[in-house]
Amino acid sequence: MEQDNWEKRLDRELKSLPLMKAPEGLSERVMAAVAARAAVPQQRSWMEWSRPVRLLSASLLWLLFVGICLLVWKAPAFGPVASGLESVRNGLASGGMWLGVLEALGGACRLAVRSLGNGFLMGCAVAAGMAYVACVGLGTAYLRLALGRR
Amino acid sequence: MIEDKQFEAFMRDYQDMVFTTAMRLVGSRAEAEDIVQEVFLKAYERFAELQHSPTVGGWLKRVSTNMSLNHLTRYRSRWSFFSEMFGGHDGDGEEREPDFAAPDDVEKQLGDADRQQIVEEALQKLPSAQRVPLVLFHIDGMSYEEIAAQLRVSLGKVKTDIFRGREALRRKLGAHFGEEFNVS
Repeated sequence: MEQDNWEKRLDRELKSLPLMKAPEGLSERVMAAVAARAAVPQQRSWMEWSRPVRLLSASLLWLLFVGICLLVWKAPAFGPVASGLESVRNGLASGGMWLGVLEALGGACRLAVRSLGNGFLMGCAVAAGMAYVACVGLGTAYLRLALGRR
Repeated sequence: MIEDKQFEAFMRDYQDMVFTTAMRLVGSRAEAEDIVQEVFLKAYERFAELQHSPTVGGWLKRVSTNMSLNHLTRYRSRWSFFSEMFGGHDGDGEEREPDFAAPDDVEKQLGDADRQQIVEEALQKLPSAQRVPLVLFHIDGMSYEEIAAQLRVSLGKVKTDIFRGREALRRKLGAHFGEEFNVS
């Protein structure tokens, strides 16, 4: 009963609270932000562009996609493109040597990491985690103490 | 240019409502101002259709509520963790100390405006885990289920947080106004 009364009482109190006064200069701030955003329309998301610009950009993208598809499909038949593809194939074949070098280097790194031992690696992971927590904690303390934000 | 003037007038009409909505949910003036700015930037982009809409007030209220809740979800989770560690207000815990002195019959000397100011301040000082569902329930008129869905938490947590929030407010206001708020 007591709880019900308090709930009703609180409901009345909270519902009767008046609107707070927005800070002075808020409208100027918003209008400045509107002007700043209008000056750099490319920073707005695509969904916020005007309808004609959206239609135009979507059509251009579609044309680009169709063009790329046609190019990939038909290009190998053209002489200059065919010779270019041949030189790319040759380049990749000689790149096989470099691939072997990279694999050897990767294997050496794996061996080096294994020789460090699990304890050392765990220690590194814990240190990295603590460094992350410390960064977040310092940022939080900065927000509260320097900027006064709750 | 004419549209900008109209938008400024439109903003003047609704800025108090949007600011109040954001302020009561995020509990920080600076953050509420950022949210108001974002809400009106969004409104500016749709001003042509909003300008003559009879439901514009509801639209602004819904957008400011959603933006405030998004803001709390996005920026407060890590902050809450550290606030709880440092014994701050943003955790689920109860207030340790009453924020007001307890003079007798002080309420009789206060006008409505002072009294509402005290209730508002007491509300602002609640931890956000209690303040947000309390505001959504009592001021915005949402049901427990709607709040749970909106905040993506369980129904039980919503009920517990609202109960704790009411009790914390009772202690705070009881300490300030005396017997009048110790309803029996």
